Amino acid sequence: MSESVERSPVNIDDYVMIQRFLYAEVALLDRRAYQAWFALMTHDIRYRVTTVSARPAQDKTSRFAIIDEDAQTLKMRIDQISDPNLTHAENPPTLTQRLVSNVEAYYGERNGVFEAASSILLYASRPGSPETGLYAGERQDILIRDSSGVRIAERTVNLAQTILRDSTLSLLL
Amino acid sequence: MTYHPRMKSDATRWVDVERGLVSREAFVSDEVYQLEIERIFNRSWIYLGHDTEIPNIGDYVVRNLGNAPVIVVRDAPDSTKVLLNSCRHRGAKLCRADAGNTKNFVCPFHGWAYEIDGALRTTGFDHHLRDDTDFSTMGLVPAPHVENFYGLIFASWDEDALPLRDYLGDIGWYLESFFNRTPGGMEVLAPPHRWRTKANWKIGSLNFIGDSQHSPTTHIGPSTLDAARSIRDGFRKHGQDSFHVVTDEGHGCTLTYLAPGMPEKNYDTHSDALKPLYQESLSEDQVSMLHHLRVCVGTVFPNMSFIESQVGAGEKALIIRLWQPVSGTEMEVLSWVFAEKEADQVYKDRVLRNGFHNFGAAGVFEQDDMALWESATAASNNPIAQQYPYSFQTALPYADTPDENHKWPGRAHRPADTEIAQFWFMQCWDALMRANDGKSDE
Ligand code: FES
Ligand SMILES: [Fe+2]
Repeated sequence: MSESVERSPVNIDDYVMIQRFLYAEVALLDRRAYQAWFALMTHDIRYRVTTVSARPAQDKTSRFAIIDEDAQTLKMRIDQISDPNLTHAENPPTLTQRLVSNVEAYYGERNGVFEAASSILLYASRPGSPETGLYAGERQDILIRDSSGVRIAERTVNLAQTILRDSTLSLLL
Repeated sequence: MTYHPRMKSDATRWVDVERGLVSREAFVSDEVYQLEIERIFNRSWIYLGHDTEIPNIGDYVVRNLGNAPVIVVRDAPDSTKVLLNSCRHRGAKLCRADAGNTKNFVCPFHGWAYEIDGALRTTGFDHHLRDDTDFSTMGLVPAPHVENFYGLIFASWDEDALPLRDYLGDIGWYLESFFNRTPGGMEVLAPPHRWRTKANWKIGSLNFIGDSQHSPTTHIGPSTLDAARSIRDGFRKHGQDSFHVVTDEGHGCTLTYLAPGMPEKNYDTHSDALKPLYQESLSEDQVSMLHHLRVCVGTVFPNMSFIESQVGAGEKALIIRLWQPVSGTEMEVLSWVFAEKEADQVYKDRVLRNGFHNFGAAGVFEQDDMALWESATAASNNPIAQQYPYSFQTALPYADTPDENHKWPGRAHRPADTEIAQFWFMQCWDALMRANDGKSDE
C-alpha cells in the first residue's frame, strides 16, 4: 500500500462491513477455529509478519519477515497448531485475547477490492504459567469482496518488536 | 585472574563419564552460568557475525562476546575490529542500535570521540587533562583476537587463544564445505531473527551437535504434515552413510543421508547453476560429502550451531544459530539464513522463506523445540529434580568404537541417532569448567 497514491476512504456502509469482518475474523483466531479462519483467505494469500532491527533514527527502517507464507505453507502452519496430536507449542493451547482497533479503509484499485489498515494487540497467556506475552503491531490487509463474501488476499503484520521476548511465535495475528 | 570456586557443585564432577550422566545443575544454575562466562565464554573463540553483514567501511553490528556487549566494525576493507561497547570515560554505550554505519564513535554522554578502529581522538576537554595523559591507553577496549574463517567472524577475549584454525581443527573441513563452496562465498540474506527463550543455552548446542532422537517426537507436526513424507521417512530411516562426528575442543556435527529407497530428488535441491561452482571450490571428498546429504546439523563449541536441512518441498536452507546465554535459565537466540552469493535472487528468496518457515522466530520446527526446552529447564530448576541427573546413556555403547574407516576429518561414530556427540560436548564443557586457571596463584 503506497502512501503516495491518492486513495479514497470507503463510505460508512463499507467501513462497517470491513470492521465487522475484521472482528469476526479475529474472533475465529481467539476461538482457535483455525480452519474456519483459513477459509477466509484467498487461494493466492500472502501472509507476512515482520519485525525490525534497531537502527539509528536517521537510517530508514527496513523490515524483514519472520513469517512469510503462501496458501500452502500457511495451511501447514494452521494444520500443525490445530491438531492436538501435532503440536507441543499449542497443546495445551495458549489462552489469547486479540484486540483490533484503529481501522482505516480505502477503496482499492478495482471494484470489490479494499485496503484496510488496523492495529492488533495480542495478549497471550501460556497455560500453567503466570507469565503473559504481548505482541502489538500494525496490520495492512488487502480484502476482496465477491459473491461468496469477503476474503483476505494479503496481510502484513508489522510487529513493534526487535527481539521476541516470549520465545518463538506459534500464533497468528 | 584468580578463581575462588566455592560452589557445592565444584566438589563433584558435573559429568559422570562412566555412567553417561550429567548433573541437572549444569542446566539451570546461575552460579554455573557465571563460571561459564569466565571459564568458557571469555576463553573460547566465539562466533559474532558474518562479513556480509558489514560489507562497507564503517558498517557495524552490535553483539555479545561472552556477556560483554561489543561492536563488530569494518574499520578497513579487510579488517574487522571487535570493541567493547562501553565508553572508557564512564561506561555509556557508543552504539545503542543493533547495526548501522558510522565515520567514528562519538559517545552521547559527554562527547568522547573515537576512530572506527577504537582509538581515542579527543575527550572534548583535552585542555583540562595533564600533559602526560596517554591517549594510546584510552581507546575502546579491543578483543585481542579477531579472525575470519571464510566470512565467519570469530573473536576471543583470551590473550593466549589458539589460532582460530587450530581451535576449529577438524570441524573446519565441514564448515568450509558449507560456507566456502562457491568462489564468492555465502551471504546473509536478512538480519537475524532474535528471540528470548527461558531455557539453558547448552540445550541448543546439544540439540544441533546431534540430538537425532528428539526429531520424531518433538517434530511430530511437520513430519506428519509433510506431504512428501520425506521428513518422517528421513527420521526413521537414516541411511547407512549417516554418522555423528566429534572433534577436539568439543565441536561436532551429525550428517544424515538418504536411506536406500528414498526419493533422491527430494533432497538434491541445490541449484543446478551452483553445482559446478562447488566442484571448483571444494575438494572431491567435500563435494561427495554434500552429495545427497539430507540434513547436516553441527555445533562449534561453545554456542554457535549450523544446520543445512531440506524438509518438505522447499530448497535446502543453510542457517547459523547463536545460543547467547542470559542466565542459567534463559538465552537469547540469533538465527541467520545464508545462500551462495552467486545464486539468483529468486533462489535466494526461496531459501530465505523456506529457511525461516521451518527454523526461525516463528518456525514450525522451532516453536515445538522451544516449548519443550523451556519445560525441561523449568522442571529441572529445583533441588529435588537436581538429585536426578540427565541421561546420555545411549552414548555409552559407542564411546570406544569410532568408525575406523571414516575417511574424512574428525572421529565418526555410527549410527547417527545416539547421544555420543552430545555427551562429547558435555565432557569437553566439563573439562574446561574444572580446569585450574593456570594463572591462579591460590
Ligand atoms: S561516558 Fe562516554 S563521554 Fe562520558
Ligand atoms: Fe528440533
